[in-house]
Amino acid sequence: MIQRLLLLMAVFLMSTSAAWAQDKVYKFAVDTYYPPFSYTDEATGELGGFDVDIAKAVCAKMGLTCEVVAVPFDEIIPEVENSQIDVGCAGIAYTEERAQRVLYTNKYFRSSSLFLELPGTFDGITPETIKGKKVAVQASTNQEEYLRRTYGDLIEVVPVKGFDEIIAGVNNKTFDLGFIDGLPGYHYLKSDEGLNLDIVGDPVHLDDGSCMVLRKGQEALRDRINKAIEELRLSGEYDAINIKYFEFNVY
Amino acid sequence: MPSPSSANPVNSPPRPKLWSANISVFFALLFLTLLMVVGLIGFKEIDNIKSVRGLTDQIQVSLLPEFVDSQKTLLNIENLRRLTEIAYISDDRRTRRNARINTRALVAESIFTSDEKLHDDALRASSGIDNLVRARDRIEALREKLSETTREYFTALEQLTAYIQDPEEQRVLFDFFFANMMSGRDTVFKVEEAEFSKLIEDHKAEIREMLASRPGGRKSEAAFESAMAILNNYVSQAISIKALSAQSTAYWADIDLVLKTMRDKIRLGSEHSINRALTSIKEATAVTTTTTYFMFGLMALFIIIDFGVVYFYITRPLRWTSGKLKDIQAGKLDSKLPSINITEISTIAALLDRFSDHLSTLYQQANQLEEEAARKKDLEEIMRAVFKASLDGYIVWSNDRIEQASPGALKLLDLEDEREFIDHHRDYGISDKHWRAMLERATQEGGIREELLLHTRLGEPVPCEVTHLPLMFHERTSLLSYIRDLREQKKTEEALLSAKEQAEVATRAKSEFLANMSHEIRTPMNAILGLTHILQDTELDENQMLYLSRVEGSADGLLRIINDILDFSKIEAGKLEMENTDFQLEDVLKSVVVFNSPAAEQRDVELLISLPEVSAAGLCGDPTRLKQVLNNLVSNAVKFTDHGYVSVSVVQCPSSPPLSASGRICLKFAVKDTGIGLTKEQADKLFSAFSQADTSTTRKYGGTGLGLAISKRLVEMMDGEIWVESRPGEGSTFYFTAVFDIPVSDGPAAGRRPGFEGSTAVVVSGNEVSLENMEEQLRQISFKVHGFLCSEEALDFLKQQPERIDLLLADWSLDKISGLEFLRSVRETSSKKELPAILVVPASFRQQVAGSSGDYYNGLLTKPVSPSEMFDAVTSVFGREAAQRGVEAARTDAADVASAIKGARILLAEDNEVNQLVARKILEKAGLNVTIANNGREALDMIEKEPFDLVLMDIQMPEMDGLEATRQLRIKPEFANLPVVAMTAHAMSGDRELSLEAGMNDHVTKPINLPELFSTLVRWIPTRENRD
Repeated sequence: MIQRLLLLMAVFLMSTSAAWAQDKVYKFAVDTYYPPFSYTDEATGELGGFDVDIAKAVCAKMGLTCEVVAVPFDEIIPEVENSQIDVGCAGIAYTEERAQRVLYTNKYFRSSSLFLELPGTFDGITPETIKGKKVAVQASTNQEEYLRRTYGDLIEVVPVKGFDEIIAGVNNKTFDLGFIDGLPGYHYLKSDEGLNLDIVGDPVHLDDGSCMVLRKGQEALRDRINKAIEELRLSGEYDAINIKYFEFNVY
Repeated sequence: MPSPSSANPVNSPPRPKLWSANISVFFALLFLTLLMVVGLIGFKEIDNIKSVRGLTDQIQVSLLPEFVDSQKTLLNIENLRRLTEIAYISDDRRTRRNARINTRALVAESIFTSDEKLHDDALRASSGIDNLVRARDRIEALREKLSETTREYFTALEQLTAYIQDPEEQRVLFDFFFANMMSGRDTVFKVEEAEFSKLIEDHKAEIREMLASRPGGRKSEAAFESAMAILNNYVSQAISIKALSAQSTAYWADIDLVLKTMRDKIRLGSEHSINRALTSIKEATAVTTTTTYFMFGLMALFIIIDFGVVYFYITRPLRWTSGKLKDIQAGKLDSKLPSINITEISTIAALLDRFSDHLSTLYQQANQLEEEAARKKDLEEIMRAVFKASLDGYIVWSNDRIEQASPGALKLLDLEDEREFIDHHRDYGISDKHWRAMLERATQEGGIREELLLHTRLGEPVPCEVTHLPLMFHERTSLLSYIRDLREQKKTEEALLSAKEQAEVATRAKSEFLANMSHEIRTPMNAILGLTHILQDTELDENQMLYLSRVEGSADGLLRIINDILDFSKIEAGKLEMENTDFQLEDVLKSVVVFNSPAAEQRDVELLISLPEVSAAGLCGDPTRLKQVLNNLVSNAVKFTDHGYVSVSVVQCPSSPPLSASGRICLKFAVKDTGIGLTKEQADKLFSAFSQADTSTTRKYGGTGLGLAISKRLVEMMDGEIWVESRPGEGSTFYFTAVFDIPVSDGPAAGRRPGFEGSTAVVVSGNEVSLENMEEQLRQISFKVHGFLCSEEALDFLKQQPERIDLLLADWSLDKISGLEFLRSVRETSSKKELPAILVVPASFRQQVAGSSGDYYNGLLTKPVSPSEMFDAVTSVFGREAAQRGVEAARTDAADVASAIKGARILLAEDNEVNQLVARKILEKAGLNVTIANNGREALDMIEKEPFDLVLMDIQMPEMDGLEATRQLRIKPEFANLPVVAMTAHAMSGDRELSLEAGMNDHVTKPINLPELFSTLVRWIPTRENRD
């Protein structure tokens, strides 16, 4: 009688744990279009990029099942907040304001920001040279926050949804300048499409690193992600992913 | 049972411990100290390690990132170099652009941002690369232009071919182009400008030449000019390209240099920091290592110390303990107890010690028990044997039963059957009640002896001596009684008793015989001597006088012999008793001298006395016997000396203790003579009875030969010894010692005499010994003395008078003149008239100069001079009163006496007629009234009737002897004070006591000694005033 009871319990537990195991699929959100961090492969239609690879690697390291989804950048944090996604993996820089809302992991790459121009338009970036110009920036990024903070009303800050809009806009002179993240910037400039544009001015160093974000209260998961990042770095997997997209170490 | 190897194991006391501690305390302390040391070491180690770790942490935290960063930086720098090279080399515009963009990215994103200096350099590199890229882009543009210009020139040349148709010339025309300008063969970039110009000029010249020979006109000229212009363009474009190339090379070199510098700087810096870090780690670890070595050394030391401590205080004691246990097992029980400080182990050791002590004691006791058992067994054996063999009886009684009876007991009681005795022992006198009591007493007292009366079978009484002893017989308390038949003993006792009685009777008879003999002999002797004495007073002619003196001499001699014999036989019978009275030594010596003076003077031998410090000695002993010895020795000395002197000296015995120590004093007497001396053989025989030195001497000198033997016995009775030192022809010295008591209170005049301190005396004598004597006597009374043998010297001395002289003493016989003459010459020198002087004359002279002071002297002394005589003479000469002393009758003159006692009434009680006669005559001659009584009773009657001043009572009388009479007399109170003097021929010392006890006052011996008699009379007869 007891033996049968035990057997039943074991089976039950196994199934529940299995269910548990199968239950939780962690949603990692990357930006919609942000090469080389995230983009949709035209051939396969799948999401790819540094962020995607990192997210998958981190998940595997943690031993969890994940799903990588593309969410526009400015929606990522709200969706993290209301648990639509578990981890926002889109190179989110640390700000006080954001820290109130979400939990930050340690950084997983580093990037400065730069101004894009049609070659020869500007002779450096100074308050005089950019006075009154239209500068496009991705909305809800710290780049936007920087422009507003640094130049205030000197320039016209135009927040747009996506990176591709900025490119298009500068190309067709809708905007005078685009202020974007360095790494995607360099990537773009080296691509065929980016031959038209060029960097202007010195790089702007905004923050100490780009991180993932989680919902508040997910300290355990956050710690696991940190550990996973460290392990990836130590094992060389990070470097493998790094090299794939960049010629230099982005950590 | 093992026996101990040592009979008496005595464990020496342990060395004193300085401290002792509980074992747990000990270990606690030990471990605590060890722990402290280890802890200390541990802490220090941890400290060291922490510091090293801190260092490495620091390094890790600071240096490692730095290092990692610098590594990264180096990599980036290499990247930059690579990108620069790409920018420099690459011909693809896109590639160059990407390189530029990558550079920007690298510089922007990478490590450069952290370091300012690096950042500047990096930016410099970055902008350099930009310039380079731009330069290269321009070069590319120019190159395109150059290609175009080349194509234009070719076209121009083709136009010229309209004018130059010679194929040879055409070839020459295009030769230059093909050789130097076609793309891939741009000679302009390979050679120097000057050279290329030359080529151009040559080429130009060639064409001109070719054209010159041709008609063509201005068209050809124009074509030529335009071709030349294009050529010039070409050259200038090439020159620009070259310049730009150079510039881009310069850019590249510059960038490269910057980057290389950066790289080297960083590498060096990282090397340095690594070095520093490693060095600091190395130093820290070195310090740690040293400290560790030291600490571990310390710990090792401590461990060794601890080991030592544990070994010393715990291991060793424990090993001793275990060794001791083994010893005990082996039977060896003596081992020294070491000093153990740990309480527990010490307790164990002490207990072990005690245990081994107990064990050895047990062994001892066991041994003893064994021995006792063996002994007991032996004793039992003996006892059994004795029991069987003994003639005496043994009975073992216990609980009203006879356990055993020996054959001897049975025999004693005339029994044969032991059974009979056992069953009916009560019939034979063994009372159970009595035996029970005896057993109790014996148990308490250990053994009892008693006399019992037992009975034999036949009822015969058997007096027995029974000895009871308690005994354990067959584990019961029993009484062993040893019965001894006393019948024989009783008989023996009775026999002994009767024998004793018989012996006593015999002794008594002997003594009585001696006494009687003494009396019987002395009485006729007395008569002879008395009568001869009386006879001498009558008228006699010379012959008769002569014969009478011979008779007296013989009688004296005979008396002496009789006395000697009696004395000797008394001594031999052990009957001689020594008196114990107070006397003055001086008096004894004086009487000895007086006694021997006549003989000495006759032979011209001087008699001397020397009494250094015992002059005023009051002694307690027997003066008579002392006198006897001295007389014997001195008379012998005088007898055997023809000329010279005989000196008597007394000193304290050399080894005798101080005077007051024991109440006794030992004196050593010496009688020295300058006579014939003795040989050794003679000296040896001397003190034996009946031997004289030489039989011939008997004839020459007379005597019985008993004198010295008696003297020897007497001296021995005075606890002394007598011996002689002599050489034939050199005289002899007889020594004897005697011990006397010191009387408790000395006589009035004994001890210190008042002295003459501060006085000076001059002594002159012809005789050295005399001189010394007199000098000594004067010194004894505190005189300062100047002595002279030469009279002239003395006279001179007195004349000069260096100091005051108080006294002058002159001997009669001086060296040249007589003493009297000497004194006369002294007196006649004026200043010495007042000087007190004493003349010392021989005894015989005294009669001649008796009492005279003379013109030349104040006092007179007769030789030998005794210290007290000296003192008295000096005193009287000095005018002081002489001390009163009781003076013995030896010096009393008959004449002096006479007046004192004249007319006294004497009752003489004497039975012997002759003695009566003699006595009466003597006494009447002295002026006394004499009444005779024949015996005691008559005496009593007479005393009642008539008053008498003194009674002379003979002891031995019929009817009532003197003692009884005196006793009866004394009963009457009115006669209590009547002096009664005993006259006795008995010389036994007990007689004196008897007389005194009877009530007599004094006694004189018979034969009568006149001086003694008279002095006694003087003593006891009251003075005329007191008589009634």
